[in-house]
Amino acid sequence: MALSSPLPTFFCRPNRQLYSRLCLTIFPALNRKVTTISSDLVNGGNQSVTKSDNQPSAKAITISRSMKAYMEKVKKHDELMKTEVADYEIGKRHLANIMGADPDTFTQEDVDRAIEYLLPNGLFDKKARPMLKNPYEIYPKRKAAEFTFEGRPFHWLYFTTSPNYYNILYDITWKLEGLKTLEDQLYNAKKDISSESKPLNIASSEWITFDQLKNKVLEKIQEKDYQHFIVMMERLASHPLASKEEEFIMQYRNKLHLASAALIAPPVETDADGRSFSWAEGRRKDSWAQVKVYKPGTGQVTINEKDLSYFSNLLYRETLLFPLSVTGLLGQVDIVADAKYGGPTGQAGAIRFALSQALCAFVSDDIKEQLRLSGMLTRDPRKRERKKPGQEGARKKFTWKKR
Amino acid sequence: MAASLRKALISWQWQNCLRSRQVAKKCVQNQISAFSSCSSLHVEVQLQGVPQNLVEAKGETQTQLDIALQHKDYFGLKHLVTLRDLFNARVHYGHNAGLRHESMTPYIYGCRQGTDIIDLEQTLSLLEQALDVCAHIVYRGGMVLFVCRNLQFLPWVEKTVRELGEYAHCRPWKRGIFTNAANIFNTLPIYPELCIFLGTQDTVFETHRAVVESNKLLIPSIGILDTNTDCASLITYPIPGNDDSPESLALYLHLFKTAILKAKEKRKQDGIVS
Repeated sequence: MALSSPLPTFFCRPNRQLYSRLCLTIFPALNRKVTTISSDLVNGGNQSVTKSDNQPSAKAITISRSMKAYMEKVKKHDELMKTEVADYEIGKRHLANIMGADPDTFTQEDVDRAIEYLLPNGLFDKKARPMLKNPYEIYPKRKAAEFTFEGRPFHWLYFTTSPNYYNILYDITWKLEGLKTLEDQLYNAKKDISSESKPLNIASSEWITFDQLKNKVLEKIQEKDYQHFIVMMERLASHPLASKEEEFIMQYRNKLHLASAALIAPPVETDADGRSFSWAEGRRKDSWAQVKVYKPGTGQVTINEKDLSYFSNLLYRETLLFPLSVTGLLGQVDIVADAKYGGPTGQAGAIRFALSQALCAFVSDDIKEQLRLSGMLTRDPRKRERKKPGQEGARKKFTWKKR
Repeated sequence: MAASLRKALISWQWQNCLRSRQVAKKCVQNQISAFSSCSSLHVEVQLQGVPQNLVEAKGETQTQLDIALQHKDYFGLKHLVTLRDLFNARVHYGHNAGLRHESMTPYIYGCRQGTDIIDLEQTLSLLEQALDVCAHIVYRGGMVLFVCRNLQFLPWVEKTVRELGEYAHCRPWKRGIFTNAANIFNTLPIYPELCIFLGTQDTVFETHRAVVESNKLLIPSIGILDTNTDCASLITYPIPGNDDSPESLALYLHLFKTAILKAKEKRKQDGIVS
């Protein structure tokens, strides 16, 4: 062995047989298995230690050094929490007396209000302001014991130091592999993937934040680990069959508060012929429009008792039909519009705005959100700007020559 | 170190020591000469002598463990794999000759068209020995840690290990997971009894830190050594072989899985309870 090594020559295997035997004989002592203690350490019972028996007794439990140390730590922590909770209760009662309230029915909300009243504080960060809270909310959460009494870790990724985090990555990998296999099967069977599952709709939610992920795994992870997690999750969620794993993906997404949910959709009414319809008014520039949407329909469009040819410019026709293509209702509804004042641009815009609002009566929240995001539910506030004196137009200046 | 702890260590040492007193003494002598600089605690424990009562109180399970160790092939792993299997799994492919590390020269059969060919006859016997050691350690209740840094095989290694109920570390290695375990895990340290390296490189340029750390803590290791490996002397049970092909990795995984499952089955049969 020509390799130079900083370690003793023994490591260069002069006698492998001996070393192998040696390792077999010494390995238990290198490690954790230490002592046999009766279970009274755990349960507080009075079972005696059965050391002299040849057969290991059922009562005796082998406890590793690690477990023993852990149990001592937990005991210490529990004692600390006990005193902290007692302090909290006393403080709460004190506060109730100061505020002249009944200490027995003094809730956490009352405590918060009292603190805010007694100790007004203008610090920007709310966490920096004085507070009185249950110690369990303030002290960081602790992980339960991670190994058995023999000192064998429960988790198969224990040695990575972030088992929960890496377990999530492992799950993502194999779920994606599962989807890929399924995709291959469908392809080989010549089936259409889109018929098998709808695309996953994740527009109404977003990925959990770095802090939320940290709280979820209860481990120290870095920002780059979070980025890694997001990349893998994006890869899974963008798979065409991702809706098969919707439940798993949604565990790691926050529901977004839909701004469109606050918008009130017009009610669905029924006319004399029994057709259901909804109507809305819209404005753009100086124009005004009222639109009635009938569903079910055949895609008929009536504007001021004419058809789509009311607008000669194709751009205007496209403008007012855009909400229908967003909602996917093109050819499924009839539209009757009245437009007044202004020019064609304003009228087309006013009809589009009114139509989008009227359509809200017939579509789901997700599509309503898409309508909102594409700007269909927002009134265009732009108006003609007035001409200024001393100028040619609103902004344009007269030609000026120095000489 | 508290006296009670030392006493406990000794008791376990001798409860599990299967050799006769003489062999044990030999071990002690060897260890003192070899590890005197590495593990003062260990030497201290060894020098305490044999507690008489513990040597006499030999239970049935200890006899069983004794038998298992004296058996030549207790788990029937000798003919689990043939030379042909290794060849079919492309275990003989090494790296380009220019990448060869001189410590791997004894395991190289020859060089064909610029590529080193590993001597499969040596691989076979070493592999069988390593499988036997692995099975014995599992049979005696040891933990096995699989280490592999090849991203292509990572999911497969983790999946196999999870099914086995053993431990895997295929992610970036934090320095000191073994050598600074007490601080990193915030408990008294827990170490695996055996590390299996399915590739000893961390990146193409570096040796895996776990090789060094397991060596420092005298944790036995089994390693697949490709011809560019520079840590052959740090691995307790080296297996020269290709560590870059999916086929060969699948073979190694299959073999270690079989060995561990057989050992666990035997453990159950022989009624050894930890």
